[in-house]
Amino acid sequence: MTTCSKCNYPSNHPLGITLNASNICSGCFTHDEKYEIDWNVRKEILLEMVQNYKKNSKSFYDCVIPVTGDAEDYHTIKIILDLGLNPLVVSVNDYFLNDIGWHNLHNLITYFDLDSLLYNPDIKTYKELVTTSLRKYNHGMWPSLALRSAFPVHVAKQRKIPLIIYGQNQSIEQVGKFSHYDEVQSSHWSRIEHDLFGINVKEMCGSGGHVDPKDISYYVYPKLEKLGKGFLTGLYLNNYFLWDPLAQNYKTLKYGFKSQFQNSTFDPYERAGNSMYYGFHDLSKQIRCGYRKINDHVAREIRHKRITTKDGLSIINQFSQKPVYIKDFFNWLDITDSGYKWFLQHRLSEISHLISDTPVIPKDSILLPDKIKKLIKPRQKAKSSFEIFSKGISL
Amino acid sequence: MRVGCSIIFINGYCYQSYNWKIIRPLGALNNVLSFLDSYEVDEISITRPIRADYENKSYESDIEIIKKSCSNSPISFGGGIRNLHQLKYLKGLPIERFHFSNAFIHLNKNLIQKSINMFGSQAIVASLPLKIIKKVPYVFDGISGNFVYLSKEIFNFVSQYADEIILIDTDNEGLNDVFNFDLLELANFPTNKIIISGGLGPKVIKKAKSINIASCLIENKVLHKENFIKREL
Repeated sequence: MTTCSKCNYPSNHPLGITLNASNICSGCFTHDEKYEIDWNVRKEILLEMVQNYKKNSKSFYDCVIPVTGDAEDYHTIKIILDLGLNPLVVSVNDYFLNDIGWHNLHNLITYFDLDSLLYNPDIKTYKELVTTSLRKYNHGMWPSLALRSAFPVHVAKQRKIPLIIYGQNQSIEQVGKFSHYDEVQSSHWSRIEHDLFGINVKEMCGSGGHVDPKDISYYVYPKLEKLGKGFLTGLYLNNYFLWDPLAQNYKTLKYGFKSQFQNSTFDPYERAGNSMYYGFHDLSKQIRCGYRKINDHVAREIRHKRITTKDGLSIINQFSQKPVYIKDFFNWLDITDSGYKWFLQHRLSEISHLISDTPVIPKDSILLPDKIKKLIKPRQKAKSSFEIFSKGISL
Repeated sequence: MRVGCSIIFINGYCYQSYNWKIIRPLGALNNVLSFLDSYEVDEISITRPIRADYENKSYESDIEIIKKSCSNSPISFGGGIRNLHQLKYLKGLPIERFHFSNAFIHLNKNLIQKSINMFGSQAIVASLPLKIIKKVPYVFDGISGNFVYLSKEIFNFVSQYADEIILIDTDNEGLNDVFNFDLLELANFPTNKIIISGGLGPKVIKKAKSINIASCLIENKVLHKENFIKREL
């Protein structure tokens, strides 16, 4: 397997990646556009576009903002409000949040005084889909991704809100799939190709998945054709603002966002408060893709010139050996002890050395550059995992 | 006028090309074709970019993937078809037309004639990636990896054997609405036989329609927005 000579990304990245003649990946050469773009001009383009939508909108809300309570959502909401838009924030309960995650979601809504919708999917159906996704694709987050990428579009359609605004387009930030100049927008194709890795919801029904198609309508992308051409537009803010996740996420601490001390990465912001992301999902990524989440964070920081290529490799190697506790996920999924052992033996045997029998307490044991260190503190340790539902706010 | 889409496909995966230099990933062929169908494009052009420094090893496996692909849109295919052996692999494909670049540039009459015999003259399209250098048209020669002068011999050969001609603006490929119409004037083929590609957008397509261009192949952009063709054109 070839890797990018700058950011160390592997050539088998699941979103697709290309390497040029100098062995520099599409993610790196697309990132370099950030330093040649006049972002003031880009902001004006966005302003003009959203003002047109605002002027012609027949809805009380100007746009839908899909959120999970991430630091990036705080940054996105701040931009949206500064643009003078009246958003409806839409969230899906994926049942993976811990105490930090619930705090961050509710604090986002209350701090910025937002109107919000939270969808709690039927948990029996949801768990059945997680089990099926695990069994067929070694992927525990597919149902969550399917809901999060479809439900906000349903809301926009039902409430006739013509605009959905997202923070970053992951496929631009990670692998440079599109140029910033393309001003790529969200689409049904993009959802299947990037969010759902080419897996259609139909593949989750039948063949062992005890799910009735009528129970999963919100997992399916709505039909938009009858709404007329150009009814719904999905914009990504990273096409219009210089996107620097670690630096901008650090600034969200002042809004009351709580970052989480993680064991498998130095980044305490991305998916802070998610019990799954750096747990089972990180390990299954190792099996499916051959690398862990730390590679994404190191590649990003190399491009932002806070880590060198050489140090990055060392940081990847060290974090990649960090153990993960996953039994809490299997308990949440109502998998028996014998079922858990079967899964370890038959599906996770090649990474058995990375599985901890007891919950892992994160420690600072890896040397990081000062440029990173100053952006990642303070961090909090989670008190719980997989909280089904919680306000998360102490009164 | 037809409005279609061009995609690059090699080693079992679809890519996007910018300025004839930069290659970006796109996605799985089946997904791409399925959504282009739903966007009701008039035709889809699939090209395997085999250039001087590229190997042609995946020719057969790529053909197998195309063979299994499902699309309701008319498809044309080209790239890396260099000899009669490779030509035989194309039999039975769900493809309407075949486009050739190097065979036309190198005046390979044998290959073109065999292709006509096999698929019919209506199925043969010339693909000419063009560039203007000092007000003179040059065409990309995939075998040498260089742009060569679009000579009178090439012009006559293309005019004689190609049912239609794809003119690709290599400088503006992947950019928005900036196709260089000077290429048409310099290449001087009849406009009703011309398919343009490279730097297409709503204004370019409107102008192309006004001068009776046969077809427009939008590169990359069709999948950059929901329902691009209905929304933008």
